[in-house]
Amino acid sequence: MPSSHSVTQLLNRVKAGDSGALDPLWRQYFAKLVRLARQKLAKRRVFDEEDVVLSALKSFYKGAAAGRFPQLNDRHGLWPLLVKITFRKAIKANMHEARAKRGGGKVLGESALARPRADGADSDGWENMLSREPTPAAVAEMAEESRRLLETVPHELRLRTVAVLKLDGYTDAEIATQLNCSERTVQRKLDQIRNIWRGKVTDVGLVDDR
Amino acid sequence: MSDWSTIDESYSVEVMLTLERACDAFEAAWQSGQRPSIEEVLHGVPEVGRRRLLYDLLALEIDYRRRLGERPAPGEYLQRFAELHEGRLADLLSWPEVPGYELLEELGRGAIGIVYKARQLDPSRWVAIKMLRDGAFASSAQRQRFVEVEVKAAARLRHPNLVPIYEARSHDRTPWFSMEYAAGGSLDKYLESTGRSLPPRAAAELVHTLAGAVHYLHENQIIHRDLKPGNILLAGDGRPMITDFGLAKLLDAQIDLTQSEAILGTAGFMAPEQAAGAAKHAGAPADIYALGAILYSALTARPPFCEESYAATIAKVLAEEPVRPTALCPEIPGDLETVCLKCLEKDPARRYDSARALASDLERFLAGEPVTAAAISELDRLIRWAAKADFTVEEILTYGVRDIVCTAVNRYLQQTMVLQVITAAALAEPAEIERFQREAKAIAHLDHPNIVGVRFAGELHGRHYLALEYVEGGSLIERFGDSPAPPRTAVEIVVQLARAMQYAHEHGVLHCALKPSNVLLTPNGVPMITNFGRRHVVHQRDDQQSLPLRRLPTYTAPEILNGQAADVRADVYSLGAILYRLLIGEPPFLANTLAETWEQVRVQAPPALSSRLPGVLPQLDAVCRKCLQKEPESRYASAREFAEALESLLSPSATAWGFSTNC
Repeated sequence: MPSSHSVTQLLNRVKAGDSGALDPLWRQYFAKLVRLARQKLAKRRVFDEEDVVLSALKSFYKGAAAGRFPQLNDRHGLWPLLVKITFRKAIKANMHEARAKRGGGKVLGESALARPRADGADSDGWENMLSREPTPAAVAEMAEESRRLLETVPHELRLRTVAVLKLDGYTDAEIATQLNCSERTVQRKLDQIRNIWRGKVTDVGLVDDR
Repeated sequence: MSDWSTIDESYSVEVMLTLERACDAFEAAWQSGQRPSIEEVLHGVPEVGRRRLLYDLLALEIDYRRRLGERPAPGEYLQRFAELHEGRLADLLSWPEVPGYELLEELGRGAIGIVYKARQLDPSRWVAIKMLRDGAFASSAQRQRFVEVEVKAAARLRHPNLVPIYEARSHDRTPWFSMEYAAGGSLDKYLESTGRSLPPRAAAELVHTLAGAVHYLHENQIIHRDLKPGNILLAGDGRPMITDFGLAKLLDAQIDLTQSEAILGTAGFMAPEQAAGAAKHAGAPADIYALGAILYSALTARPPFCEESYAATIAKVLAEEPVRPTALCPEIPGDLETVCLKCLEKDPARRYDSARALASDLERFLAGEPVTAAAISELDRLIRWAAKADFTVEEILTYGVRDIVCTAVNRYLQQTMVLQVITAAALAEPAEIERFQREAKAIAHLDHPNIVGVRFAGELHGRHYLALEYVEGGSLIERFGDSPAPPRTAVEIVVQLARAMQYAHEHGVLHCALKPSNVLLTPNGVPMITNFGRRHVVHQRDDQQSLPLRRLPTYTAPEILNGQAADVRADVYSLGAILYRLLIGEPPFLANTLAETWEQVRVQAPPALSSRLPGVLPQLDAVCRKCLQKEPESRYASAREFAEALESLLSPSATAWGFSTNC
């Protein structure tokens, strides 16, 4: 189990340049998110399948419970992007607050988020994000964020379906089998979904928070 | 794979949906068996998304072409689309770049890697480059070790029949090595293209050459473990060369055996000890097995075992004897078959001691000298088969072209049974198998106290068989020898036989080969008919050619000998002949030669009992003579009529037996 590595140890390894340590860090982080999501769901008395927030939360642990765990280094993954977008919002809010308090509280440097790499994982940014203990509030934000982002994905041409299956933790190959299409098609649709979320596809009503 | 984000800056959701729609339609066309044109699809798309769409469509086309077994290469696409970025195209094709080489086309792909035809720049020459798949290695350390140790060791070997390895390196963490380009392709493809087997002599020469190279490998402590026609390449001058030696260690770590078709092909050439999963322990004998399998497929145009699925093939490799090559192609010399089958022995210890010993035996064959390998006889095969089926063979009763009948003890039940097992030769003919099954089914339905019952039947380890009840006491022949039976006893026996035949006929089963040796007598004197249905369809030619003298057709109805259709009255004839034999001690017709006896049965009037047995009851003489009529319509119409006629003679109201019972 990843718990055998302490978060501090893993962080030190990442700082020393071992990007391989990011993955267990991500797994631990995600596992915590899943636990929180499950607690939140357990408190709800009435289950409404139409509730997007609820279904986004379900995605958190449905996949993990079935052993489907989103990989941080999956080039076609949606979770890492979702987590990143949520955090950027939180940090931005945090910085506003910090400025208001004139330097009170730790402020993350912009540079922490400003070094995108070709594979989509900027290691410095991840290091900071994953070192934070997820809180129930963070889970709620994430659920809200995933609802908002999912709604930007058109229903047409199986785009929404692919997004939901991917958030549920299915692999590209599994989705391709389920939809009877090429893995290339799944990857292309995921790429378009990510483009929407990144604001590269315009006119979808998505506000770019950057 | 490309990260598309660098291709276009941004586009509206409408454009995105247009692109998606075009891609989905393009894919649907491929799926419905068409070959849609990328150029046409691009034509109707707004400028802003066209560049991206080109790559999306290419990705799909490459995928679907590969599914069709095609091997798309960069050259053709660069010609079609001048605007293509070479690196991005290479990404889509997973086309590797190797410094100092120009990779031109894909020659083949397997579980371990992909082979490309390439042009080396310095020295300038054609080479084949094998890129090893990432998945073939457990770790990057293992990958490193493999290139450093295994491939470099293999590269030091020099033999005219081993594909020379020129260079072994890693590029972008992918290990590769270059080797001589074999212009003649693989033996696999060669056999496929001719669609035929090699002439026996050519096959022997080929495997003789390969065995020499394998011996050289073994001397250098290298076990190939994946010898198969696909790994035998032909140089421009036709010289066979073995490739992929030294790669076997990778096979141990094979990730997904079942999904790779490349491996599926291999299963048919894999030694049983290797197929059983002990690949690490598969030593030199496994290579000798594979050489035998190559010889087998060169001779017969099919591997020794080849089933629909990997698992089914492995099951046969483990448990069954291959069909004898001569059963598939009768012109294969027996000695060559013997050499081949010795290689294919399940037990490694029974194979040749070394590849050199195999080469020497093939040399003897080629020189026209007798080989050292001893043929496995049909009986050996039977005994081995029986052992696997939990039977210990005790005595061979009959040994025919189609089946062997023997007594055997079932080890579980500790009971003696009679086994009727189809021969290896008959197994090669679907019609024979079908016949055996049909007969087994017919007999299995008979349940009568005077008919030997079927205990079980089926197919076990590739052989069809019947296990019959074992009747102690021997047949009528053994019981009475050449002497007559007491008349009353004779009539009582034949009445029971006639009633049993009536039962069989009513169940749609003819015997057609009733004779005293097919009637067993229990110690209590109960007659039991066996060997049912062995000649439903009479092969007249067989009988004329191969009937030994001791098996004169003297109990066979004349219409059968004439090759005409037989019905229940043919069995009535045989019952009459048995009655005659029991009363007189000799069959009705008996000449010195097969031909004369044959002629007598066909044309000579049936002999009268009274001429041999003075004082015989005239009614009995008449009944017997009526059975032996040449024309079926002159006989009793059924076994039942015959039985009733005999029974009336036995009834107390009938005339007293006019002769003493002590003769």
